[in-house]
Amino acid sequence: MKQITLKHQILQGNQKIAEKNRKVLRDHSVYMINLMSSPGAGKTSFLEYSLRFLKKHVEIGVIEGDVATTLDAERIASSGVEVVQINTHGACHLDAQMISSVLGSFDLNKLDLLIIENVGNLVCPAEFDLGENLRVAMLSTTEGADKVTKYPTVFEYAHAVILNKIDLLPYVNFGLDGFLGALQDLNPKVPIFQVSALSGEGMESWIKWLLERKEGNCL
Amino acid sequence: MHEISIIYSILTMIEESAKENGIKKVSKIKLVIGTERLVMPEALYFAFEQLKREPIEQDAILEMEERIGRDLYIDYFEGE
Repeated sequence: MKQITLKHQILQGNQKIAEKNRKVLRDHSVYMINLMSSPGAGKTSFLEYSLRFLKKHVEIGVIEGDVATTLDAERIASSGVEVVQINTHGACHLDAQMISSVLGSFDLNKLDLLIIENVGNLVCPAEFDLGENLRVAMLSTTEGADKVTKYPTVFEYAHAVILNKIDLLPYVNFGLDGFLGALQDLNPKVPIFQVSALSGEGMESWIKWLLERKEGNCL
Repeated sequence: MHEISIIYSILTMIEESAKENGIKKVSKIKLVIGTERLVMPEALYFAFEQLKREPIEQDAILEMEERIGRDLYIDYFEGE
């Protein structure tokens, strides 16, 4: 009987490809964002609004992850931004290999910012490093403030948290204090942006922060 | 939620390492699972039972230890 000690991290395959993605992007001075939320939180609307302002300052590409259809890619393409759709055909998250295989579709020399809209899911995407520089977790007021403690990983490791649909706060039973308190416990330093992608409220400070963060990273 | 792909990559790693170490029959695989990894042990057991097809791992048992943190790795395996 032999015992073989391995100590091999099981998702190391994904991790290796993520590091490769990160290096390719760094070599081309491209800053990559991984946007995660549950379905219907408003990722695509939030992106559409952000793109209108961001594209005046930087060259942007978008990767859309969905189980099926190109609906989101079509919406983003109408903003005049280059977009690639990944259909996962059932998989509940994007992984580093999927990102690696579409990086070639972009002219990375021209790009400054690459935004990934992950598959709508608060659980699995949090487990897979894609090679991004910035992880953004979004929650919307209609989902309920308890989701931060119920799905902690995605919020704990986020570099920024977006609370979307704040225009609905007067009509929904969302415990804002509970939400902020839960984030304080999990990820005390994370910047929180309270926005409405519909009315545009709060979007300016998010866009300003993002551009500053990107500049700081690329210097 | 992705227990099947986790087991699939475990089996791939074990098959590779067993071959390297001249092991024909694996009897036990020991995993360490971080409490923050959102991995369900029951689903891992189920996926393991369904996916162990190769003769080399057919009789292997899966043992798991939960530890605080984000680790997810194969600690060791036994066989001859």
